[in-house]
Amino acid sequence: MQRLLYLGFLALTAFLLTGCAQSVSQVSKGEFYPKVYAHQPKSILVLPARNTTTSVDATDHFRYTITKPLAEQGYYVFPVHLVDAFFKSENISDPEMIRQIPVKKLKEIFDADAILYVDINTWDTGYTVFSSNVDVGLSFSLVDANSGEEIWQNNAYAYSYQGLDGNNGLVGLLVSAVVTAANTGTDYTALAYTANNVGSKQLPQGAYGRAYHKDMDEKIAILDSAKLEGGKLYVDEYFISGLKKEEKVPLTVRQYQKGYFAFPVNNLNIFKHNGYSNYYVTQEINGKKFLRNRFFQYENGFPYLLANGKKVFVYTEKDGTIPYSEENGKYYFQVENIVDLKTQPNS
Amino acid sequence: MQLKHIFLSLSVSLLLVGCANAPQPPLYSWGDYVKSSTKYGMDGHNKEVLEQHSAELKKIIDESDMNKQKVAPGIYAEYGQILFETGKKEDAKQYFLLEKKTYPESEKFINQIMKKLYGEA
Repeated sequence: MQRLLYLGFLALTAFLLTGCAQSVSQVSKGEFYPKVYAHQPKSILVLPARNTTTSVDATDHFRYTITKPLAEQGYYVFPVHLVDAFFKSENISDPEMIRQIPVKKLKEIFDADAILYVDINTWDTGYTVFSSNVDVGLSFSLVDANSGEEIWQNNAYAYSYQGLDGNNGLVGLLVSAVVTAANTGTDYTALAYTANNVGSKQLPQGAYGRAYHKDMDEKIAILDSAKLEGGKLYVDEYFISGLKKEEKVPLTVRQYQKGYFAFPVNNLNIFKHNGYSNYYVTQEINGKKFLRNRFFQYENGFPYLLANGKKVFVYTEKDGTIPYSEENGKYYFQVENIVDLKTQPNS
Repeated sequence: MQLKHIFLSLSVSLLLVGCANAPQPPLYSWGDYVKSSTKYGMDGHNKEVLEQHSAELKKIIDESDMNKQKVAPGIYAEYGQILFETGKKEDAKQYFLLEKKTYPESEKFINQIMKKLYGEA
């Protein structure tokens, strides 16, 4: 067993090394999130999360568990229960109504620098005799409270795996079956915290953070999911049509260990193993609806992919859809604008 | 199958570890805040839940003081809110003032709250 593990490890290392050498774009946080550095918000007001999935009772967990991760990123986070009490005293308790309040009005009341909107857009549950899992997907949108403009956008995925521990073998299987029967529950608080935590970590640090402003030069390495060639932005078929299945495809890359885990979605290679159920997600920010593709990064509302060390912006329809073309079995997007990254791989 | 699982878990954990920066010590003391605050938000009418959250907040404040750490954003204000709700209105006021003093970003909001609760800022 040890030997096999070792072999697996070697193979994996080789895979990772070649994978990295081929197509990684290095981008500094300053280049990836320029608007955050331009506006430098100090305080964040988190509005009630919006749930576009069929799960009923998980929504509130997401709002209550994000205070700590945001504060640990160095931001002042308005005390959520006091904010709730304030809205209640103004006879506004419906979460949707609160989200419809114009940013200008929120600025007046709270004097917040930025408003965070959280959308829950994936909620998949799976059961087997021995296990249960819950997968959750979030979109974050941080809006500058003075201008109403979006300054940061991010997706996050997390999952819970409960039940059989994959490493325990047959004895473990029998023991776990008994344990699992007694307790298949997922702790939504832990799941929501995990997702919020990984999502918040991507946000450049705020004024109370140790790396405030210094993290501007921090480099992020992202595996390219596209290739720029002859003025066209090529992606593989998976990018366009996923696994070509009509039904929902739940996340499948999991550690078969009990617990709560998260991974960011902007690495297509990880996401590839999973399929996805919605190509586009709808976000509603400050009363406006946005249709967004999961795999793209957005700047000023315009979608781009990192490719060959450049930000490649693509053509978008008015409703937010991104049309693609097919040519000899190859898929590409129409390029609108190319911005060179200053950060170059230093290898 | 088993092997595939091991391989997958290995690759996932490696990728995750590979991406993460060296962990920094947390800025603040949080105790069991995440759980306690969520419970309070979902079920704050329950007297037992309210008392538990109140005790947790007090513990966090004491712990931060002991460690000479700044108290995390919102903790003073939230503790003040619970004190007010349980009739300790004058004690509550001290904590609202502490929130403002510790985090000037909260001043405008806390002033509005205090106006509502006490008729003055």
